[in-house]
Amino acid sequence: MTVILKQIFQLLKLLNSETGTHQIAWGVALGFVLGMTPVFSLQTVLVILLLLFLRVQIGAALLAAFGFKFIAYLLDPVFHEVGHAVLSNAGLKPTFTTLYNMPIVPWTRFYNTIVMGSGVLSLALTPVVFFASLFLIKKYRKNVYEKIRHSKIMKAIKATGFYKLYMKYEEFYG
Amino acid sequence: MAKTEKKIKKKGPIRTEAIIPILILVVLFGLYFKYYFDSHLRYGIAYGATQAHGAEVNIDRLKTDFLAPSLSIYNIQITDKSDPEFNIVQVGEVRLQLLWDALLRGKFVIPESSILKIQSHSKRKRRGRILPPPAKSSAKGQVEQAAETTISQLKQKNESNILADVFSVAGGTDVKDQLKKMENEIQSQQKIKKLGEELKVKEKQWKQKIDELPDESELKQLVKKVEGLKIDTSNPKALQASLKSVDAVYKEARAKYKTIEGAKKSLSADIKKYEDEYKSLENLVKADIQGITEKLNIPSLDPKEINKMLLGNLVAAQLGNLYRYKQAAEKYMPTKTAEERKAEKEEQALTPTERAEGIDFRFPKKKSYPQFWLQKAQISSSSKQGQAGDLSGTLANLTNNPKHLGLPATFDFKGGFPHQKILDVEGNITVDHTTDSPEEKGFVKVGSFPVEKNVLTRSDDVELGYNKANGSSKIEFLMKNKSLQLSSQSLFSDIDYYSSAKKPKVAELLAGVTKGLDNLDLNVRARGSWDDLSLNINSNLGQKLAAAIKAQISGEIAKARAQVKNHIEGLINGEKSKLKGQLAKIEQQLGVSLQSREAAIDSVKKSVDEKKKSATQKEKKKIEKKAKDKLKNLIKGIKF
Repeated sequence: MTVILKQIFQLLKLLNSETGTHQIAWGVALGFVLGMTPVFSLQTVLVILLLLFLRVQIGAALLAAFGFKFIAYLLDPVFHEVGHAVLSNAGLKPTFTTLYNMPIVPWTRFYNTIVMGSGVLSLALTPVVFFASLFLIKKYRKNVYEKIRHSKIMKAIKATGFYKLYMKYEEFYG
Repeated sequence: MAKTEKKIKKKGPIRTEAIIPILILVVLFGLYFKYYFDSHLRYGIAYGATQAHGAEVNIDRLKTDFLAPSLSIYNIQITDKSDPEFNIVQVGEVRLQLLWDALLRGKFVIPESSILKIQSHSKRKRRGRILPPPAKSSAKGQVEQAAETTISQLKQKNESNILADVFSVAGGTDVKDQLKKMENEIQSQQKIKKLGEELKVKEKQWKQKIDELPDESELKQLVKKVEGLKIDTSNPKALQASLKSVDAVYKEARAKYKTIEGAKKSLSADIKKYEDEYKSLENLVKADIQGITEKLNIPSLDPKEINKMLLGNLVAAQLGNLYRYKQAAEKYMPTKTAEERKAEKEEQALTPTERAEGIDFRFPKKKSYPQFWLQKAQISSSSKQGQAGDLSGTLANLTNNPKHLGLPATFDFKGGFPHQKILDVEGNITVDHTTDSPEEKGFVKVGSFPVEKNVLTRSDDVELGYNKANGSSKIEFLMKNKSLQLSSQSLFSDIDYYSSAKKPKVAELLAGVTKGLDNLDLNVRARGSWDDLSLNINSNLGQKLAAAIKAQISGEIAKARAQVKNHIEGLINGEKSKLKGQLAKIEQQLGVSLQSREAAIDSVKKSVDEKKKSATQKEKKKIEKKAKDKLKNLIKGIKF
C-alpha cells in the first residue's frame, strides 16, 4: 500500500513540477509500450535504451508502465485475438518465416500471439496515448493544480511545520 | 539595480548527461572482458571439468576473441584418477572458432577447430586432486545395475584366489573332520529324510482310502445279481422292464467303477510325483558335492576359471571403461524420446501449441542449429613438439542433440606417443544417437604399450604377478541399446614375472610355469545384454597353469574331491535305496489291491453286457420271425 501511495505522490510531484510537458507525455507513451509488453524481451530492452538516451521523463514512464501492466492483464484476450489474426495471415507468412529464421529477431518472441497483439496495438496506440497525455497534463496544470494551489486547505498545509520540514528535505535531497 | 536574467539553455532530445555514465559502464565492461573475463572463464571451465571428471583438470591459459568469435585454451591437463601423479591426457592447445550466425541465435557452433600437442600419461608437476566419489543414486536404471553386477562379479572372481586354494590342497589336506562337521549342511540327506516321512504318512492315507473302496465280495455279489436276473421276452413291455433292472445293476457297477478308477489315477499321480522327487535327488547330490567342495576350498582345475581369476580384473577394467564412456555419451548426447520428436514434427508443421499465456506460432525452420555442435576438430600433434605424441585424427559432429542434427559423432585417430613408448595407436569410434536405437561402435588398436606392475594373485601363501611387460591390444565393440558385443585380443611380451610361495614345491611350480610363458595372450569375447553377459576369457596363462598344476598336484585335488564325493554318497546312498524300496513297496501293495478290485468290476461289467446282449438277440430273432410270418401271409393273400 505504501509503495502504491508513494507512486501516486511521485506522479503528483512530477505533474506539479516544471518538467516539460512533452517529456512527461513521451514518458507515459513509452511506459505504455513497456506496460503492454507481456514478457521481458528484446523490445523491452529497446524501450529501456530509448528511455535512457532520449530526454523523456523516466519516472512517468515507470509509473505508466506500472499502471498499464494492470490494464494489459485485462486486455490479454484482445491481444491474443489481434496477435492470432496477424500471425495467421497467409500473406504475412513468408515475412514471418524469414524473421523466424533470422538471428536475434526470434528473441523478440514476435511469434507469440500476446506479444504480437500487444506489440501491434501498443505501437498503433502510442501516438494516441502521447497526445492524450499531453492534453490531460495541460488541463490538469491549468485547472486542477491551480485550484488546489490556491485553496484554503493547501494554504493551511503550507503553514504547518511538517510542510516546512518536507520542503527543507526537498531542498537537500530533491 | 541591474536585472540579471539567467538564460536557460534549451536542451536537445538526446540525454547527453546519460551518455557519460553509459560510456563509463561500457568501458568498464570492455576492461573486464579484456583483462579479467578470460581468467574467470578459465577458472569456470577448469572447475566444471574437474567436477565432471572427478579429478583435477587444469588449464594454463585461455584466450577469447569477440570480434572474430574464437576461444583458445592452452595446456589442458586431465589428472589420471587411478594414478594422480600423471595425466591421462595433456593437450597443448585447443583452438575453437565459433560461428557468429549461430551465436546470434544463442547456439554454439564450431565449424573448425584444432587440437594440438597431445600427450598421454604425462607426469604432473604436482599430484592431481581427486574428488570424493559422488553419492550413488538409489534409483539406478536396470542396465546400469546389470553392468555393475557383471563387472563386480568379475572382480569377485579375481578376489576368490583359486590359486591359493590349489596350493593349499597341494600340501595335502584331510577333509574328513571338516566333512563330519558339515553333515548338517547336506541338502540331499535332509530331502531324503523328508521324503521318507512324507511317504509313510501317504501310505497310511492310501491304505485308508483303498479300504473305503468297494471290496471284491461286494463286487462278486453284483455279478451274481446280474446272473440271477431273468429276462422276460414274452412281450416288449416285459422285456423293457427286464432291461431296466439290468441297467440299474449296470449303473450301480459303473458308480463303483468310477470310484476305483479315480483312486487309481490319484495313486498313479502320487507315485509319479515321488518318483520324480527321487530322480531330482541325483542333481541335489551333485549340488551338495559341488557346494561342500567349494566350502572346503577344493579348487577345480578349469583353465577358464583360472583365467577369470587371474585376468578378471583386467577385463573388468576394460568393461568398466567401456561402460563409463557409454554412460558419458548417453548423458551428453541424449537420444530424444518419441514424444519429444513428435513435438519437433509439430514445430515443422506450423501447428500452434497451447501456452500459459497466448499461443506460440511455429514457422518452418530453414536453418537451425543444435545448442552445441562441434562440426569438425582436427587433431594434430607431433613428437617434435617436446613431449607430445605423433597423433592425427578427426573428431566430427559432436553435439548435444544428435537427432536434431541427424549425423553420428565420429572420432578417428592414428599415431603414437613415442616418449611414453605407446606406439601404433589407431582407432575409429562412432557414436550414433540419431535414431531410437542408440548405437556405439568402433575399434581401438594399440600396437605396443608399456605395462606397469600387475598382481595376478596374492594370498598369505602365494603371490604371482609381473613387474613390467610390453603389451599390444585391439578392442572391437558394438553397443546397441542394452546389448554389448565385444572382442578384444591382447598380447603381453617381455614379461618380467615375479612369484613367491611359502611351500617350495609351489614356488618351483610357479617358476616353471612363468619361465615357459614368454608371451601371455588374453582374448576376451563378450556377447549379450549387460544383465546376461556371456563372457569368454581365454588365455594361455590359465591353460598353462592348469596343465602344470594338473601334472603335479591333480592327484591331491582329485583325492580331496573323491573324499567329499564318497562321504556324501556314503551318507546318502543307504537312505536313497531305502526310500526307493519304500516307494516300490507302496506301489506294489496298493497297486495289487486296486488291480483285484479293477478285475472284479470288469467282470460285473462283462456279465451286464452279456445279459443285455443275449436279451437283445432274443428279441431281435423274435421280431425277425414275426416279420417273416407276416410277409408270408401277405404273399398268400395276393392273388394274380
